[in-house]
Amino acid sequence: MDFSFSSGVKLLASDHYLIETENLTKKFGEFTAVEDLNLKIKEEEIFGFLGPNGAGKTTSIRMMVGLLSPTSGKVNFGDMGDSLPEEKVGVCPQDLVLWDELTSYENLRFMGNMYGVPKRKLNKRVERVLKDLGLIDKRDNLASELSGGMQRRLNLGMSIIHHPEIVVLDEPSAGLDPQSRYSVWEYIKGLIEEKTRCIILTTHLMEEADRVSDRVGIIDNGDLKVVDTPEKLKKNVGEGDSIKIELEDKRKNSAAVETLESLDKVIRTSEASNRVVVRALDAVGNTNLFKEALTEAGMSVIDISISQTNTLEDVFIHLTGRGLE
Amino acid sequence: MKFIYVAIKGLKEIFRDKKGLAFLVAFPATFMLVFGLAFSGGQGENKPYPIGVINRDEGAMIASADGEQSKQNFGNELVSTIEELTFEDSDASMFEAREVGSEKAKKLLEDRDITLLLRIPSNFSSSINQLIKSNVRRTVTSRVGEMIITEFNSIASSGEENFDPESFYGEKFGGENSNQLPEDTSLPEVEGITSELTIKGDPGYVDYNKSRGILVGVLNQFKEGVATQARQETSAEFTDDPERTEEFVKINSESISGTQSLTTFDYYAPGIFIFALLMSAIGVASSLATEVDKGTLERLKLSKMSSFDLLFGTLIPWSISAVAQVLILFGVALLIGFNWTGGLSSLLYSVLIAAIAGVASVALGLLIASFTENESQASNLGTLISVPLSFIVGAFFPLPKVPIGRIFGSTFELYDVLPWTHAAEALRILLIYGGGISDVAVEFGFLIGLTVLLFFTGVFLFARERLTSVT
Repeated sequence: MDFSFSSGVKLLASDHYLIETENLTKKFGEFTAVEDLNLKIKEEEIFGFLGPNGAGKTTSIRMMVGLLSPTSGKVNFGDMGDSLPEEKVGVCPQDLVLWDELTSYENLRFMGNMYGVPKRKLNKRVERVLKDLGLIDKRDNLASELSGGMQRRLNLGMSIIHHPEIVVLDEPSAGLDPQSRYSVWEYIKGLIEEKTRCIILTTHLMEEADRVSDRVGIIDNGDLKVVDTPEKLKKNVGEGDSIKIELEDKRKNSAAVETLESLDKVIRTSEASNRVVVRALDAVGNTNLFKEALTEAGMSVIDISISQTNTLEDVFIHLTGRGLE
Repeated sequence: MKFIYVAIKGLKEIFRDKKGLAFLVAFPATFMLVFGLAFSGGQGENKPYPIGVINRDEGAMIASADGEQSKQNFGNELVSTIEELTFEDSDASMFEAREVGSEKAKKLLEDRDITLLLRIPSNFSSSINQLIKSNVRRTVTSRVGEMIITEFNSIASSGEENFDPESFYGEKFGGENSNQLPEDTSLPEVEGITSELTIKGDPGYVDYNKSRGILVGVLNQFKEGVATQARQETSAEFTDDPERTEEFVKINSESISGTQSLTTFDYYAPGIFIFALLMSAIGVASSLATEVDKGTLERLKLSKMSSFDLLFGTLIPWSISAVAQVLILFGVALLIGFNWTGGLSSLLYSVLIAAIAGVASVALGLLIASFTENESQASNLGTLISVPLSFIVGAFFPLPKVPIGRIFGSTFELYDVLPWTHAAEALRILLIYGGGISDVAVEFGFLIGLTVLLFFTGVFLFARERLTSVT
């Protein structure tokens, strides 16, 4: 069965777990990259790992598919046991991993051959992947001659040419323009409606995690903070609006947090990404109040933005007290 | 069978990578061209060494065997002798001598328009005259002594009564019968005159050392020739047999079969094939290090590819590349005057040897790639190893002997542990000495054995360092 695009977001996932990790830990010398990762990934779901760069996302997924030996802990693949056969998994690395001197067609065909895809099926699959990823016109162009976005899409195509049951996508839309990014997201969602049993993706883009994932795990400093659907995560952040205030003098951010914390209308405050983040009811009506309080305390406000719906970044800030960037 | 896909991919990469291809073929071909032009004159002919001569010899009065005096200039004779010298079994002159002044000679030497300068002093003929007199004197005294001893022994052994040895000497020296010696026997007086010939040049210039070596030999032969002639002419006065000349040691020079018309370039050409094959090791190492660095090796490891698939898939295209390299370089060599003395079979055997040496280079590439992280490191380390190795295996010139033992009755040199040493030797035997496969059997055996050893070492290290799962 070949892939096709799907515009619908999968809402329901099976409760059958395909991947289970148990106290998965990875240490590099004294540095602990991932600590006691306990995670269950369901059949037919797209699971998103959200976290800043260096949070341990890539290390986690590399251990989960057998590319990296864990220091301790183990992984179980449901009916496939404790080891994953090579042909059952497809990995799309964060870096562009292509053979520059081969054409788009040859790159896909070579990987198909290496995975042992039967010849009679391979030609059709290659043509289909090229078409679905918008590369059919660049079929005979060397990989080195493709644009960055095209290379990124070819990189993705090479990881699924053998129809793997588990697909791992490491920052699949990094470096893509918004239009290409949207196409890639639709393509990823289409995969799960076909043969793929589950997709694990890592991202530091909250929008990507939000729009593509059925469930999101937020990871920071090698520690899995929370796992749930994006909707529940956003809901759990609490009521109120999110107000982000940028001061002229960023060194006064901590003082601003203290100043605003003392106001009745404020639910809570924090500092993230060089801005002061305030959660409060009726943000629009209270904006002037916050600004005046800061001005009286000798701080100059240069920008205020208000978000009346929670985002995954708000979730991350709520959990870690820091922004994603 | 996945190694076939890896091999096809490798072939496409090799032949589409223009820079890499230029490095593999154009670089050694340029070497071939430069060596060809420098050492074969472009025509495969021996070229005369240009030398400068300052002849200040004033000549000398020389007495012939019959006592007549005539003026002779041995300096001029020496120059004529030098000009008439030809290469072994060839009509090509060995030297192109030209008379020059001191100032001009200095400039010509500096510009390397002449390989050396020969200065013949004014007393050269006088000194040669003394050499002649000395030899005449020695020959006369020797002959007279022999005559006396022969006659004495003859009388003594005949049992003649009343033989008085003391009166015998009296008869020979001043007695009544003292006229038994040749008439007008006189001994020339020898004066102590020494002339100094000077050979001047740049010891750092290869052609100076070569032409100086030849010229020193020529000067010694000239001196010996004059002395021999003087002794022979003097001896002839004592005997009726003009053929009677004594020669205790005779030296003949013979060329190795098939080398009569060989040039220095012919020796270099097979070495450049080996140089090119060693350059392949850099390509192999860079290619594998790129796979590691770009993550494509990891992508392949994620598929069901085995170590065998990768290594044999790498071996095949690089071996094909090695054969293509040698054929192209062979064509270039022929175009610029390589004297190929073997037949088609020698070429086919050479291709086989090149393919095996290519496998050895792949093994070297595996070793280098085992310890390098990216293309740049592999390229640098590869160059650092392959270029000196070209010299060590004798691709360009033979190195000093460093024996480490004896195998099959032959001395095993330190360099013989490297497979390319045997490949270079086998190619020379096949292509320039016209040898057959039986002539290279030992080299061929060593080449295969050492290549297999090196290949499995490379496979072991590369598999251990790059193909095991990351921890």
